[in-house]
Amino acid sequence: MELKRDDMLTLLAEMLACHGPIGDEREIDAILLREFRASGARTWQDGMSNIYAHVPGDGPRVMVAAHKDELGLIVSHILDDGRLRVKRLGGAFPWKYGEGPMDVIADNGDVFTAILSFGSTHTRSGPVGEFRRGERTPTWDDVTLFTGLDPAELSQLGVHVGSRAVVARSRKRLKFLPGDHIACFAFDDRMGLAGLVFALRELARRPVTADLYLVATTAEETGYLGARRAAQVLRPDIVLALDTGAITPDTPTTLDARPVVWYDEDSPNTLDDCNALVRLANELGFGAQPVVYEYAGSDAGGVRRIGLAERTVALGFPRLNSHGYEIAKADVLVNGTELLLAWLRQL
Amino acid sequence: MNQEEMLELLDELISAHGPIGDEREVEAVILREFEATGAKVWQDGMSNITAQVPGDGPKVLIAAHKDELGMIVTHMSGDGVLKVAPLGGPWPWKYGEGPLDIIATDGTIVPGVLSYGATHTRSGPVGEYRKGTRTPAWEDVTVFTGMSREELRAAGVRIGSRAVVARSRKRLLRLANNHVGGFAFDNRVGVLIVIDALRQLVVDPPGADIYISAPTAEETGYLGAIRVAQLLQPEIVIAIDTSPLTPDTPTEFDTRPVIWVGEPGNSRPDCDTLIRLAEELGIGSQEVVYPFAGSDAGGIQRIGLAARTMGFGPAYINSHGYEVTKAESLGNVTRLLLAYLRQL
Repeated sequence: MELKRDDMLTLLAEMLACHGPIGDEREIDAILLREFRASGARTWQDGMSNIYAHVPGDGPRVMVAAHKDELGLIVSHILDDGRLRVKRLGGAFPWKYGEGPMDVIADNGDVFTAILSFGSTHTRSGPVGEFRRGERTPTWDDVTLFTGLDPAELSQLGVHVGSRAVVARSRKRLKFLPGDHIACFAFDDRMGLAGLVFALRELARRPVTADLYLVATTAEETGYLGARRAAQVLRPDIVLALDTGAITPDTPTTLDARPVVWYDEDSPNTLDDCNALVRLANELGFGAQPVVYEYAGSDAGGVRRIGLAERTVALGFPRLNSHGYEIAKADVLVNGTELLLAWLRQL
Repeated sequence: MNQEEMLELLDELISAHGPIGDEREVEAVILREFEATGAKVWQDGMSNITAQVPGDGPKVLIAAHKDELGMIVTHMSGDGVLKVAPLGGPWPWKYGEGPLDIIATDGTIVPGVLSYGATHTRSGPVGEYRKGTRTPAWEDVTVFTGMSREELRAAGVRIGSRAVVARSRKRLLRLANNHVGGFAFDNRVGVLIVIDALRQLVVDPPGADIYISAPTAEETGYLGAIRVAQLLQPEIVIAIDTSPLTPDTPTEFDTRPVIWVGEPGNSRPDCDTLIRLAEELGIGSQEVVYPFAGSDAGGIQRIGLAARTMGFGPAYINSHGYEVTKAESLGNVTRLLLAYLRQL
């Protein structure tokens, strides 16, 4: 196996710094197109923005999906003083982000920084008063984005109702922590994308029997929409989602370098394929964590629920603080990708 | 200082850590800047730093507190996960998840991550947040370090160690139309202004017996300023502090200094003088009555340690979080402070 950990982390860091809130994924698309094409595989992008690479084979048709959208915000109002009100795209929470810099993406792709703001805490009035008394949880309706610009200036920049915003790039640098941990926003699912790219490099050099489609999907966080469209087009026999795996209080997951095998997500994944992943992980020497999620979903389950694949399975990189500032073991990036490759080779 | 020089020094001041009781980093910057003016400078046993510009007139204490909001480590579990309590008035929903700096005994930084845990659950505090019924509280969060308790101890982290928002999140941010943003403008902005004033007072002393102080522990009850006032017994106390825009005051977000006329015992004639001087300088001012804010001036006044007190500072939004102010307002506060001192 040729997977180099440092190379994977370098690509991961580049991807983490790229914005891709649902529906405005231009920055991450550019990286993915570059990497997919560099593998030599036939690469294309559909009208929904899903990006495909094909590694042909005579075996079963397999779709491997890692989603390229990240959690973000969409501008819903521009106030008279130039502040923006926002709604969330996917499952973002303002208390996860805190006050601080966000990047607003203009029509031409330029970003400028605005400040997610709750307002002063030196008050007993309004929402902050309720937060001080512990009465309720801050919501997106309680915050504004301060821009320092007036509505005319915003319009001139190409910012309007419908523009997207994400955590600022300055907060999205990959951080290395003791104990071989890594941390950043949007590991979900940039880790999956890094695994997808490195798997593709290997597969393009040494194809497997299966007829393989590697797909970087859009809009996973708003209902698996990209993967569902890709599956409609491709009609795969098997779908594997390469995603993160949340470490939650209601599962026995732990923060270590063992990939997570999603046995159940709303409805169960294919038992034989899950078992094969666990067996292969043991043979590879790092092991796997089987998990039953009650409140998490992947592109695999999303495709299965509309009857678009007979066999589905999801493989995840375990990380703390899902949908916030996430923490994982650096080694799991390599382990999860090796496991994916081993599973594809035995199909 | 011109505005660019002020912003460069502000960047350095807000990047230097100073959670209440472990203010070593910011003290080094303040001592350097105070001493560079040539004034007599000393630090007392409580860590308050004071510079004197002597004169024959009334004894005036100008206070700009150097402590910032922070956290103190209360528990260290075997797997190196820390629990923290707030120092001053920080809130975890203001900070969000992300990097913190834990300050070890030797002053080095151990990285941590403020963590709520997964959102993919209906259990525990996160489950309550999803239902909207609970405000994130300090007891709900942990600080992940990636180190074991033994490794943390060896690195100089223990119960009582301080933590703050990581330096990577504390650089001064330049925003459109001459706005600047960052954590801890409260009260590094005040420290910046008194440094700016001290440089000019040393060159041309106004006659009053002036003590410029950067006291500690404002955020936990004005303790540093109270101690300084006990030692100096000033006649007049001026707090230079940031002035929040709140929904229960008519404060506007502009470059006019905000004059705290309602910290109840502030001296009415002195406030009137400030308002008149601001008018004469062409910068204008805003008067404010804060129902829920206090300054070192009020803290000193309440225990009877000064005959005349007042407080003013630049207007800012998002107090005790990621704060934003107008760059021009900083120099305006220095000018008003100097004009006041020269007419005493």
